[in-house]
Amino acid sequence: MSGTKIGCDDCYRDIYLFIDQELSDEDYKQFEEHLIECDSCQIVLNEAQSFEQELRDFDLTDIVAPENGWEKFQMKMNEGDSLELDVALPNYTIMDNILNNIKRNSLSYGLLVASSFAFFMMHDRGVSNVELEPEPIIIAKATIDKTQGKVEPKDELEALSEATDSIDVKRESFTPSYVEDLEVDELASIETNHKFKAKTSVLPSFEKLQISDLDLKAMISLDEGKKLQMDKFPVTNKEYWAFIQATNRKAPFNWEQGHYKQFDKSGLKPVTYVSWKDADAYCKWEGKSLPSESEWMNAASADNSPYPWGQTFSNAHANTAESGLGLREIGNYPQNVSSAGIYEMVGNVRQWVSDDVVDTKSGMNGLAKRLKIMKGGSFTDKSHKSTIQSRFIGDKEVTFGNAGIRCVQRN
Amino acid sequence: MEDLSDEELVRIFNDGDNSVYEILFKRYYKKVYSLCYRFCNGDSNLAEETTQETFIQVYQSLGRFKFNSSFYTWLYRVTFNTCSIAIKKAARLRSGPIGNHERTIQGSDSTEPSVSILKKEKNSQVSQAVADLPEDQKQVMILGPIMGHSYQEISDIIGESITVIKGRLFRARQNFKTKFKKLK
Repeated sequence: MSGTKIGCDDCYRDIYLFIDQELSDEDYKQFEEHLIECDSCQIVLNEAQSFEQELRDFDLTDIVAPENGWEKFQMKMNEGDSLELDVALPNYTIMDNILNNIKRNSLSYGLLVASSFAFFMMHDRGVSNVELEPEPIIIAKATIDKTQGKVEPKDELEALSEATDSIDVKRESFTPSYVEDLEVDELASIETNHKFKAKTSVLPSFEKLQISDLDLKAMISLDEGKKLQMDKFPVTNKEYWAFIQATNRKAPFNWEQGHYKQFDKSGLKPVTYVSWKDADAYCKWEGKSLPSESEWMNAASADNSPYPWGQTFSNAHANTAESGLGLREIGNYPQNVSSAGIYEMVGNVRQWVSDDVVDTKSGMNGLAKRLKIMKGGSFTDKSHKSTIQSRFIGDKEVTFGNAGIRCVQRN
Repeated sequence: MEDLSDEELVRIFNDGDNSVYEILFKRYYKKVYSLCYRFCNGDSNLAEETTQETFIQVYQSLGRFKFNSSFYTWLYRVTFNTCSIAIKKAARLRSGPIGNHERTIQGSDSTEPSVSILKKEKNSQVSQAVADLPEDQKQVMILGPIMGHSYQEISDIIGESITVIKGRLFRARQNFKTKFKKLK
């Protein structure tokens, strides 16, 4: 639909692409423009986002995984035995699998290392730092095991291995930028006390910031006369809890029994699952307000660069989808600071801003004023979507697991 | 070490320190179990078996991981494959679809039962509506809207093109809406 103005039909067709952020920038913008002008599509979006909310709230943590998973895993590896399944799986063993790979002559050195460790782990639990020596030994021992009457691998296993293989071949040319970042020599010299050679694989050990209650309350002045100040960090669960205690407001969905302790011991993770309305209420309760988009952007960067620290991204700077770490406590990214001194503007958690989605060109405001803007990207957004310029749109009554709050104070 | 990203841990593992596998295991154990649980329609025994199987499979083939996709996409792909095989086999042996949609509510001694029960009640409706979807639609619903994977990732995990994923997700969501409204 690029190039031309879109209608309600296009909107209906692409609504999930919009919600899932799978539209190109151009299409996203057009969709946004249409939404501003079209009340009925706003309502459709609201309904769709509510359903999405139901689905996200369909809490995966409510499934209780069996305990001692790791211990059971170790036992299985130690026994080197096939899994005792009544019904389900191909009856093969680790050794069979290794042999299978050897037979197929598809051994890379890396696999050999992995295979041999699998072997060591099976026979001697917890042995690490073993000098891996010649391949023949492994093959010989494996052969002995093979003679113990294990069942031949079945066709499903073949299929499984092949399926796994095919991922390796796909998208050969794609190297995520953060992987390249890691290979810079200067990043390699740390973590010297490990028994293995870290080579290029270890992140620089930046000092983690020690967060005190003072830091939580801290506000950074954005102008000379202290007329506009902004929270140094996003609002944390701990702070939001105090708000809930005082106001009886509903706790975020992911909290258990009105408390965050289940998933956030320190309370220093940014609060999430707050709607724009919650965010607004929180700020007002603190005697503050939500920043406007332009205030937010000015605080994040003085020179319109994509990130608070400058032009290039690495996953040592901010918590985005590339790291795969989920939501993290504040203070883990000391480099993620803007020239104004505000921390963690991008990555980890999106932040609601006060603006309605408005079309500045036509001067037409969002008629139902239903849609609000989120900034900064989050642990679920890739780095190129977590720039200072990126924006996300959400219904103001819907909560998102990756969106939180940062307040400003105007004097 | 716990702070390192997946990819760094994989590199360390492939450099020869297999002890880091514990970190990866613990980081993803619950997620993989949840995924298996959903794929297996709430059959907790089968879910545990497939979870363990997945991690054994991953342990063995980690040396072949080439960083062409993110680690978790690849992990979920192995999970998906393991579950698909397990489900097919189970269905063949039991001559019928597995799982009875029973929601074993693993109760906690809640001091505020009402909140918790409400949440579980609602969850069971979503769960029912999702479980009633055709198998292929159920898969994309679990991976997409529920777990929040991008189309590219879903495509990598289940091995279909993005265009197919788009269409399937659209139909799945429409279907889900209808079923969910009926249950409400």
